[in-house]
Amino acid sequence: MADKIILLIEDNPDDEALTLRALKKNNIASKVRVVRDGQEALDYFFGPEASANPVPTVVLLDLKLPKVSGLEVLRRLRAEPKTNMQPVVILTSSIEEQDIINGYKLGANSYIRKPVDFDQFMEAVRQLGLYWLVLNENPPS
Amino acid sequence: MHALTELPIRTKLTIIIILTCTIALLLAGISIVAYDNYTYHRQKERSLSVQAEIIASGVIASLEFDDPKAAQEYLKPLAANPQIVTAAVYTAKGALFASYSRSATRRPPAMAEPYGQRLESNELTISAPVLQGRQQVGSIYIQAIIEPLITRVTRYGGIFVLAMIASLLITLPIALRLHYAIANPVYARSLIEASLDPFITINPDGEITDVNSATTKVTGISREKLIGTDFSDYFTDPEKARESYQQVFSEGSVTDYPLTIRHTGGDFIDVLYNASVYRDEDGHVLGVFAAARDVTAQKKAELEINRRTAELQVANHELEAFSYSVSHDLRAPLRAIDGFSLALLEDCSEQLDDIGTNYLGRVRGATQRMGRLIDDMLELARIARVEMRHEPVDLSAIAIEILIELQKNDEKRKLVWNVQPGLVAMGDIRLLRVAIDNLLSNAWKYTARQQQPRIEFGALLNEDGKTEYFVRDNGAGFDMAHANKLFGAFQRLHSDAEFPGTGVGLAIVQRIIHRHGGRVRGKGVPGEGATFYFSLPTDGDGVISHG
Repeated sequence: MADKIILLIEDNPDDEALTLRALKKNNIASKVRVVRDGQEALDYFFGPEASANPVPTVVLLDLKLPKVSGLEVLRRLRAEPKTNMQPVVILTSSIEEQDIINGYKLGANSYIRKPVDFDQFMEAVRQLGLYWLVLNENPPS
Repeated sequence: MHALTELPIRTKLTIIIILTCTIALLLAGISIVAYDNYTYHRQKERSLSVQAEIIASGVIASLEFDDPKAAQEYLKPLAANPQIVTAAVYTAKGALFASYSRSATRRPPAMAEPYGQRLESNELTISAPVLQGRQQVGSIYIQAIIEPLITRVTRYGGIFVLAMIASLLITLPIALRLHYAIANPVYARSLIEASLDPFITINPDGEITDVNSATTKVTGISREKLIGTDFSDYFTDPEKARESYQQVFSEGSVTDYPLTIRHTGGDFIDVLYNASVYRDEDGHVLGVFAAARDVTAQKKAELEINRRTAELQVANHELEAFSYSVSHDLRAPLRAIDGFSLALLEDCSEQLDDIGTNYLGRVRGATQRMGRLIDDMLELARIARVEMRHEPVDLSAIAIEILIELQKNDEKRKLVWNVQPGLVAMGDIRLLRVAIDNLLSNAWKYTARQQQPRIEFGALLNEDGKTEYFVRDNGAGFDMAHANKLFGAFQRLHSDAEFPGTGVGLAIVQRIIHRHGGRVRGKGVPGEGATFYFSLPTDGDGVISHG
């Protein structure tokens, strides 16, 4: 499990700290890479140093991001053959119907709302880690 | 004359017929009387002359033999003619030979009068010689009354009146029967004039042949000046106007052809033209009949509607952006407050005493409550924005589903519920589910402390004969004095400690029912229960508000 990487795309440092804390608390030992806006996320996959970056087991994508929005990042990932099968979980505050619809239309593998209650959030992250890092079989890279 | 023009056409026609008949008969009567007067005299003169000649030839012998008695006898039969007043025979020397008088008062003159005829005060007198061969043997005198003109005119007057009545009896029914045929063109004309829409007829050369007064009004040009001029001259785009009537002549008609009329005052009037050809009895095209409809007001209204719709869309977009921002940005700090409070409790527990732990617990409680408030607020906004569908909705089935779900989540509670089956209304199934869910969840919540809780869903007819659906419970109820606060957003009639909640549920219900064009009301008695009634327009064209 040591070689499994989670890519967290999150601009809010509080949310970043809480997500990392929740992962740690749930004994999810994978490495977590954090990028803090949409452009950085695209650079991770398509930038000049992209080849050095490991392919994430799962991408946790926030929707409201500076520079390039989360949905735009998702659209670009799905447009490229290199990343069109990349598992992407939308992890966001919004439960706007339009966001959920657009997320799935653009090919999100899952849509999870961050609960305000941290206990619930912990539980969500626990299940998320268990599912994507343990149960789910990723496409061959 | 003015009064006459205002009479109905039917009356006018009747008057004209009677007048014409009377004048014709009167003229006929006068000429008959004049002619009769002339011929009557001639005829009387002639008949009296003949009479005189007969007498003259009859008395020749008496004169020659000087036998006045015989002459007297000869004159006697004149009594058969009541018009003859006197008659006499004179000798050649002029002395009275024999005489006849109708009455004793009138006597013929003693001496013979000069020969000839005389008409004096209705009496015609003839004096003529009695000839034997070429020798005059005496003379004859005869005087007769001629009936006066006035007597005859009176008699004719009676005949005239009778003829008048007879002719009217014959002509009036015929005239009335023909009246519609005569009056219809007049009627049609008045209809054309009554129209507020401009009507124009055009001949195959494109010249105006007739217009109504609405056309005069819309162009600012008199009927006389319009007739004979080119139809297309009065539009902002004459070429397009020409094409319009050419199209009518080639295809038979045009519908809603848009043109703009130029008023002499400088105004432009947008119209839609409907035109078709009209033909004579043999089917030959005589011209085009065109009716225009002034759509300036509609166009203005359309622009206004478009402007308002655009404004509304902008407002809606702003509201959506606002909701989106609230949904994303307001909840993130809350999550941080809650998350780090928990982190404090977990990681720094040895530095916190019981009071500190308690306070952090309160921070977390308040944070989570605010999270729920934000969610409810967003839900309320979503209910107002969401697009409505209209379809039959089985309210009974929804209510049963929700009650089963509530029971499943809290299996320890023993609750009796009753749903009237087959209640179907027109509306948006998702919104109505939210409304019924809120009402039943409330009922569920407020009956929590009831020994034998009961929830009922059904329908009844109110005083206006309209269907009202209701959710009834025997729970905590409420004081009707505060009923006006029931449906206000974030308004509560119970404390959070008694019954938790944000006070948005009934506001959501009201918004959903209002969007369906219905009404909602609540009735309650503290400690005995509450009933919430709502109505939904039963057909598809109920007024749907966006409140």
